[in-house]
Amino acid sequence: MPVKAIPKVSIPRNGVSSFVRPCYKVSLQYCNWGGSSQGVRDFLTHPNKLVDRFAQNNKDVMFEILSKGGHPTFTFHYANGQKQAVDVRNLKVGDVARKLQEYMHRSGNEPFKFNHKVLSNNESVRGIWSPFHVAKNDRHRI
Amino acid sequence: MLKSIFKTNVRALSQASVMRSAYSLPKPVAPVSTEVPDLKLLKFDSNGQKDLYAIAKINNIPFLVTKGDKIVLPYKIKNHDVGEKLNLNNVVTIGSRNFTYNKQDGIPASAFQLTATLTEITKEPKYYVYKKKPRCRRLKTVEVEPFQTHLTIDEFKLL
Amino acid sequence: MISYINYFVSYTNTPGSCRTPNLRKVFQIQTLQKLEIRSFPFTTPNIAPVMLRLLLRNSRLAPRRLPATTRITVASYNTAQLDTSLGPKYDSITDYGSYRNSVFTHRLPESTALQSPQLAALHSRLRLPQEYTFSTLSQALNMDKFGGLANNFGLSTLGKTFLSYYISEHLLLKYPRLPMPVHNAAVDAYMGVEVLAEIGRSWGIEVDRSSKLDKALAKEPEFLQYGRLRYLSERSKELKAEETGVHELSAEELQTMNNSTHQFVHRETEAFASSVRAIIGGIYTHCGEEATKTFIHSHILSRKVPLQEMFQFSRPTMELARVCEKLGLEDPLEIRLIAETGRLSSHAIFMAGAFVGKEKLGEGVGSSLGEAKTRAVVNALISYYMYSPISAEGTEIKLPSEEKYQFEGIVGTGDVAI
Repeated sequence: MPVKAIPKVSIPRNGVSSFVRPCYKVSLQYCNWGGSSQGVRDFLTHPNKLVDRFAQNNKDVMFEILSKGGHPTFTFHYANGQKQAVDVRNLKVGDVARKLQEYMHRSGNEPFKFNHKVLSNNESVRGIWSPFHVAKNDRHRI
Repeated sequence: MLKSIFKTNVRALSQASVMRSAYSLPKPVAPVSTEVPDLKLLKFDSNGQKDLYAIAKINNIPFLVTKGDKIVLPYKIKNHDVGEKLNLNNVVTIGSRNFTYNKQDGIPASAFQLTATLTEITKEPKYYVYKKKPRCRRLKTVEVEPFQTHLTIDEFKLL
Repeated sequence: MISYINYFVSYTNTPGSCRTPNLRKVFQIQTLQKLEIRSFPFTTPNIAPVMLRLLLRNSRLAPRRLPATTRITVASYNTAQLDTSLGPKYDSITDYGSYRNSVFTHRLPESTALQSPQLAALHSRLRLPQEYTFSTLSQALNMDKFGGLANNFGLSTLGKTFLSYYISEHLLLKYPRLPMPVHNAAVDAYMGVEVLAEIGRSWGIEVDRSSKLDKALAKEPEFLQYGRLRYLSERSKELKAEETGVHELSAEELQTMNNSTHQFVHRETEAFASSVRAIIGGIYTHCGEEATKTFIHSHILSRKVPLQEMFQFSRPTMELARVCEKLGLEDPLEIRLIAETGRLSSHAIFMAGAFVGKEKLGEGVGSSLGEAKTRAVVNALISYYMYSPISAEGTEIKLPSEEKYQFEGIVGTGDVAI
């Protein structure tokens, strides 16, 4: 007769009182010879030290630079186990930087179209309207 | 509907009901300064401020939020980095199950604290738009991939 | 109340349990608590009081005292176990200062740890304070006992103690009437192995999977491995391709095997969980108790646990009758039909309420009279067990670990203390 418990797992709420950035590692892969890697090479050897500045501003992300044949790719590793390889061939320096920034802001979750405004785990504060709680004279009569 | 009634009824028996019914708003003698409203009723009715909602406006669009909710905005918030805390100071309504405080020109910011964390700036799934110009038989195909911003309500309490 | 007292007796008597002064304070307060019920005055005007059943009979349903053998001990969250693999020696088992390992291990030099980019990123991602050294962070990720480097066993034990303290403090004070099995399940929902492993993965901790040979062939710098979670032996790293669908259980996994459900804790899961605990333990060693508390509150207790979905009642009406009896309510418990529609149709809806005299304890809607009754009773029970006190200002009550804590949380007229 005593109460039994149903085991549950707590639901993560990243961003509530603590935030851990989901993108934890980026590998920048380029080719030292190919023309499609020119933008990435320019980005890496930019006189303004763009890569250094990126690393300074995003200390919570690990940057890995790989020199390998083929078209250049950036691989983003996310906390949910997803890896996203982004093709950056034939891009200019500015576009390369923009791509890098954009994918570091993501969480690795599947993109979705959301036609509502708020996504909530909590039950409704005001409760849901019920016909039984209306005064009896005002109820709909069948 | 059944399930939600089942769940929400738990709150109906909040022990705070006694305090709430015992408490009466002070009667205004002189014109009261409306700087900081008296929100004691909301505090007693909300189970230790756990069950509170707010209607906050972002770009004049209202969002009904509770703590831990995720606001999905169909655009990119510029000049802010992921992980930053934003202060939502344009709040029109704060309410609990039985009470609502509503002020259309904004509740004074000293009455509450409502912050959101910028958790993600991402994009919606890509889709294609076909554009037809008059007197041109070709159909132009445009890729559309709009930005999307996620804000998570980090803290919400009455001060 | 009886179950609570039993619970605390068993909890404090657990051998080797963590006994901080704060913890004891919680227990004393808890055993002093007085339970009474207050509920909604019965205000709904249109109720047709059709009595379904008169339930409470004094003779049959007197609260029975649980026999001493049914005391359930908590699943050793607080019990520290000795790691014998490093040959510990001590003068006396309670003299913790005299503990020494006879197998020599050394700590990673800070200069080496500082070179590891993973450690720097993890340190920054978790917003750890400056005092938290990288070598401790690296040690927290080391499960390897025989590599010559200090492992995370001690840090993990420390972290586990703090986790269990702050989580049980939170649950005991915020939900003082939670039954013990649900309390234990809730503690598990916050700091069970699977949950902590999930947290560890979400922190972006990587596992060291490459063998020494691979590292040499890839010309990988030595310091890179110190930022990864090291739990695999050299042999299992070399045997890379496991046959799909077949998994050979290690000795540790066999120990965690549950014979009824055939489930076990995977070694990787355990490794992630222990690294999370060790990181928390490390915060205490470097930055003290306040920082540890803040970290646990912001990373672990900020998660949502669906407490009201965790109750399972086998005979709810009996249980509610027993609760009413225990509280000494004068009027009998009655289940009344409040509203109904379409009784003769195929989609009838009934709304029943559990009443004691004029007070409504709970209300439920169902498609049959029995379902409505059960839902009403279950709602009443859950609202009783899920009671959460508030302070006199209407805010959440203070915790004993906070500064200037004093007994508070008395609500209403003669309501539940704490």
